Amino acid sequence: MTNPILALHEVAFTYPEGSVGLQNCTLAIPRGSRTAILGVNGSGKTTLCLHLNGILRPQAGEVLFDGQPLDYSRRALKTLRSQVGLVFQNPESQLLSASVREDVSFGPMNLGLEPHEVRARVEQALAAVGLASLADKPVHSLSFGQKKRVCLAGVLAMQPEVIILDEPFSGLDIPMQRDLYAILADLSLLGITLVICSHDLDFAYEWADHWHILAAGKVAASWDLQQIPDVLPQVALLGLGTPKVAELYRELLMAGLIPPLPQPPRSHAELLAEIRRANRKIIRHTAAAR
Amino acid sequence: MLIESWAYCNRWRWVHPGAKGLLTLLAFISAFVATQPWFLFALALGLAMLTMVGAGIPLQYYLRVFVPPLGFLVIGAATLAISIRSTDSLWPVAIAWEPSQFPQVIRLCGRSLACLTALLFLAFTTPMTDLIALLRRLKMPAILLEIMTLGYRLVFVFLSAAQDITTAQKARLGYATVRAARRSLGNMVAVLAIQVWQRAAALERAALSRANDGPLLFLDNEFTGSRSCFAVSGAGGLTLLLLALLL
Repeated sequence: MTNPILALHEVAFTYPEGSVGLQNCTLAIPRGSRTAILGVNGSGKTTLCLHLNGILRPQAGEVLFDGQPLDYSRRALKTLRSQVGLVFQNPESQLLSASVREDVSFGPMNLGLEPHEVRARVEQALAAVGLASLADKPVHSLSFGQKKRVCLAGVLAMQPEVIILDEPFSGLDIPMQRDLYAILADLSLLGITLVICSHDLDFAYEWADHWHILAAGKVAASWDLQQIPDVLPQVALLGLGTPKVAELYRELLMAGLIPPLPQPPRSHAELLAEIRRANRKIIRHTAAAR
Repeated sequence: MLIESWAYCNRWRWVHPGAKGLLTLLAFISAFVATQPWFLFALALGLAMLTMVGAGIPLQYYLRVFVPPLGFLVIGAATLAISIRSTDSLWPVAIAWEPSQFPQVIRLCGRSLACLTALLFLAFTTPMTDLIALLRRLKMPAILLEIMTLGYRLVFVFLSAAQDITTAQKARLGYATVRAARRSLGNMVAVLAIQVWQRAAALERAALSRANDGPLLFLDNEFTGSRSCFAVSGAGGLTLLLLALLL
């Protein structure tokens, strides 16, 4: 991999109270990629995220940004955090101000930008997450999903190169999930590296082009998009289950109901389209035979 | 909560907080400078009308906030208006009205009402975040502003947490008897205390993640037509002050 934007090299971290966070953790996140960090609850995903922006410092091993080991001085960490944004799972733990606009302005203000620049970035970020109409409302009157979007806007306003999201879809209803998915697609098109921690295998199968699977603080496996369809039995063995789309595709193939495809479908919509295509062929066949 | 909700949707929400603050300040000064009780009561009434008619706060909601502090006023006035003397008769204490204090009591009541209505004018028309931003512009110490910002935000977080906990407790009959209620309340306070510490740690981590370097920096809101607002409020406030001095 040519110069990954973020990498961990044999990182080990144990919390003060004794619980193990990460053990001998080595992984790389390619520039501009869509990486999914998968694992059950307690596998070390959040700990990993906190290492990527320098909040936690490994007791062994090193964390690299752009090929360079992290400098843990105050100024260097500030620069790192302007380039690596982290959106936590719980919005209540991130929102500092009761005003939406004020909270989103927190990040750019910390970067020392001029007020007019900060204002422009805030408006841009709020528009990107679809909250422009709610910018004047107090934070405590927003729904959970809207609060999550304020948190994302707060990080977007800093215009980082990498955005790490810890369980971004948890607690969101279907329309909000679709909106968030669209926002992530836009960010990806802009070349921003996205890292999402999740235990939702279906989402990862549809969205990610790189997978890292964590188990008990260790990296159990790392796979690229091309490898994933072939390694699904191993994924199941790791306790994460199997992506429903992959399972259905395999069964439909074995039953001979759809032809084998050069690229297996990764999303529900794609699989549905294939089934309908195959169905139309069958109907045409039967009609022709008559 | 009532003031809170009206502060965000009143007619004068987008008037510069500095202009509103200036009027409030000049009204306060007028209240302290004035000597005529009728002027003080008129000032109080005028400010109340300004809040209700100008900013559009309905009377019922205004009264709901206005009436409770009057209890303190009554106690204060009573302390002045009533004298307690020891006597030699069977009943050792004599309680009587003190007519000589009445002018002072009336002036006190007038002044308190004027100050209360001035404060309510500012509170009902200006959201807390704008007030904090105003204080920031007035160079109030940063540490105090940070306490206010975070405290204001966390009031709602903890209110919601407390509601969630009491709902869960009620669902398990936690408030079925007085004894159970006492225990449940104690448990809730203990849980919230731990949450205070946990949330503070999480907030600090989140602030660091957004490149925070110590002081909490926020961008102030923009307000249009500020100059005219300041001119109007300044003129109004100075008129009150002049009247207070001259009358």
